[in-house]
Amino acid sequence: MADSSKSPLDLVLSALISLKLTITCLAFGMILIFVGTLAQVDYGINQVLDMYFRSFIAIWRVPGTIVHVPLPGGFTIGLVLMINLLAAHFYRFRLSWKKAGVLLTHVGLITLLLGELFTALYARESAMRLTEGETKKFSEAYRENEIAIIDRSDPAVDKTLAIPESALTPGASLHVPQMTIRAEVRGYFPNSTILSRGGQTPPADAVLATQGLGANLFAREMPRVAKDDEGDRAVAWVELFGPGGSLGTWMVSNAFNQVQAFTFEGRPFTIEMRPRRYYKDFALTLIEFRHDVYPGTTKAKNFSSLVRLADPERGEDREVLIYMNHPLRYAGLTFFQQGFEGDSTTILQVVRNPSRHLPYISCALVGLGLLAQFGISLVLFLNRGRLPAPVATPTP
Amino acid sequence: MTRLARSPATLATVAVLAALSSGCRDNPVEYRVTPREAAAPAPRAAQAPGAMGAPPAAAAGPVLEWTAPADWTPKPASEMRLASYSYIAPNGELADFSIFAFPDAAGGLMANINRWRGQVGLEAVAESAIETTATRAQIAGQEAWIVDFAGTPKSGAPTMGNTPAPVGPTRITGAIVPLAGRAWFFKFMGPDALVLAQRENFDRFVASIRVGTASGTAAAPSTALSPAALAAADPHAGIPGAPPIGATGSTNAPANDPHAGVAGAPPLGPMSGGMDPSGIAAPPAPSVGFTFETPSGWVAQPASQFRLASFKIAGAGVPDADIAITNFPGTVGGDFANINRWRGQFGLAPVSEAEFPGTIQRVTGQHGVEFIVTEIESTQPMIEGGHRARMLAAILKQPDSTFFFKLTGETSLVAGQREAFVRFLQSFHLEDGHAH
Repeated sequence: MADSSKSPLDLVLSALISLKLTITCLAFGMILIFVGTLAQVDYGINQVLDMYFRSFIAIWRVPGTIVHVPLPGGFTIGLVLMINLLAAHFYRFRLSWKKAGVLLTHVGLITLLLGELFTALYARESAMRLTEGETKKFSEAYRENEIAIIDRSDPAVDKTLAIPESALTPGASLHVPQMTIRAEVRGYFPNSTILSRGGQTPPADAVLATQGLGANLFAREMPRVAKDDEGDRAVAWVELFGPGGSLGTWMVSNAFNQVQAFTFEGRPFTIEMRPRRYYKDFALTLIEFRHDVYPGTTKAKNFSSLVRLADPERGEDREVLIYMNHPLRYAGLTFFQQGFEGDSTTILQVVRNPSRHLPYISCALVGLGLLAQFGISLVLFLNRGRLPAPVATPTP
Repeated sequence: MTRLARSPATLATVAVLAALSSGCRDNPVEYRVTPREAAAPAPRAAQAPGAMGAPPAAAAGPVLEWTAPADWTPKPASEMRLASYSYIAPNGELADFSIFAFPDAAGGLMANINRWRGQVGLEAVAESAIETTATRAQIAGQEAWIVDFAGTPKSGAPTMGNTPAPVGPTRITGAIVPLAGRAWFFKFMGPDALVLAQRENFDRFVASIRVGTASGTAAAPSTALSPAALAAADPHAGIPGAPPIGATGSTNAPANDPHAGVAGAPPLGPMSGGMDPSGIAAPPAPSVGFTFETPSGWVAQPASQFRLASFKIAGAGVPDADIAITNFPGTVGGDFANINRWRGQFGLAPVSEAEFPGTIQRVTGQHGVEFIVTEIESTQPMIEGGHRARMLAAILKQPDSTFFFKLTGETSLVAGQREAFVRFLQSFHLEDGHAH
């Protein structure tokens, strides 16, 4: 119970360093894992991660009811645990070699918490799809799109103005100094239904394209899909400008299966919405994709991709076999065998996670810390046994 | 509290707060200059049938041309195979012939030979052993290599094209031809005895390889083959899976006038040279003649190598749906096996013999013929734009061949065409000469 003589600051401090707070956080963590697991009935893993674990507040809808229960999200629990741990070190622990193991264990725990935070903030997953004989220098995002406005006048290179979906704020004016073309965002729906203007009348406030494929279409906004195996049909309208003024408004969507071509300043251009690309400074060529099955069955045994890694700048040019549990790690990226299409197209998962070593470091620190702590205790215990027997008090 | 403990703790706190306050990652507009891509890197499904296809690696410089033996069936091969053939023996065994081209020998000649050796379960050999492993040959005026070896693949052998992995003794007979900075690989792989028996055909094929006359164009084998176009036109192409089992294909499908409301395909003769030199008869190609009424909204597409007729239904905001009519000799494994194979292509578990009748419906057509109709929907997105796919498929058995009618596309688009599909089947009329 709070001592009435304590100041409010002391009260806050004593709460922050309290072991009860640690236990409460761990309990909420367990509840969060439980409800997060249940939520995967309705949502994909990425949505669950964002809703429950990479958020400050998680709203849990009790299944089968309309009851919504707010819970501290993963960020909140991690932050409070971290403050609790640090505060305890500030105000409770005294540094002594006898406590070195505890300190090491706690540093390991902090590393683990920070590692997850950095993963949430900086890790990026994408996919590289390669067909035998094909060479690529880029991977594609799973769920994020980009609008690519490409100057195709040079027979050797494509010059691209790439606008990520996250920059599609209506009214935003987007351009790069290297290109004279400029794009203004007129509208953007992360998910939509695309309809023909011939069949239905667009609402009065609908954004309408004047050029290209969309000249006959309009779109209605839809809620974003929540499952991993369903995709959003994103749609955006961009008005393009040259030095001489507007060229018209184009509608682009990842649902369109073709690019739209136009001419600007006498040069051929295309505009399209496609999965966001992440370019690398090296290239992978798929030499051979193998889909091995158990003999006499169609049951998959192993998938492997033989690729050639070419990086002239670092002087790398070698063949690498990527297969299950044997990814290619190169230039801060990890390429895993993820899937395939047909018998000669492989899909590699490309993961960039600068903090991927932190969980290992953390486990090592915690392990060392516990070993040190128990070792120290053992030595102390054994030494106590060897202490000279207390001098017997002479008795009469 | 000592300073020692305080400083890392403070640092960590600052790091957390800094990381949190920076919040989300910034997403600037990017300017990129990248090597030229094909003008329209549109997905395969969007390519026009008939478009010439070749991998980017083969898009420039001199190319090789060849003439395939008449009883090697061109396959709707993967996009990056320059060409692909299968040879089917009368006993149903299958050998696969594939052609690739890679820049500068893709890792070295020996590495490639050793990869092939590994596929038939043989040990790798050293670079110095090349003279004993491969035979020098003059192919298309180039210093080339011929290899021929047999072994038993270790467990988990590679797949050959669209067919299950070889299990017994397997042979690879291949040729590697360097030409203008690229290496061309001609690989014939299949059951040992079968490939051996086809050696004469292989040699004839190799003798036919020549440097193309039209420099800078894609490989144009004289068998009027456009593999990428086939792949593009074939709905199997975008779907993991295979063309019908034992697809020997009737080549030279007529370009029947697709714009007439009623399309009539003249009977197809057997492939030219239906008898191979060893005296083994090639599988008979069916003769086909039929008429039907085209439902409204179905836009006729040019027929292709494997398609007697082809249509497209425009999708508003979703990819177009595709309709294919094909005919293959024999039973092609039977309706049970075919429907389970299709289910597999759509990511569904196979049905048992007992469950099978529940998955089909029967539709009676002209002159009382009976179509077996099934409807399959994927649980995962399969087509472009992340849509799930549905297929309405009908099988019509004939004494000597089997017709397949497949309507594939985005789920709701296909569902809306169910009645039209049934009406279409009911209007399908086989010309005289076919049992009804």
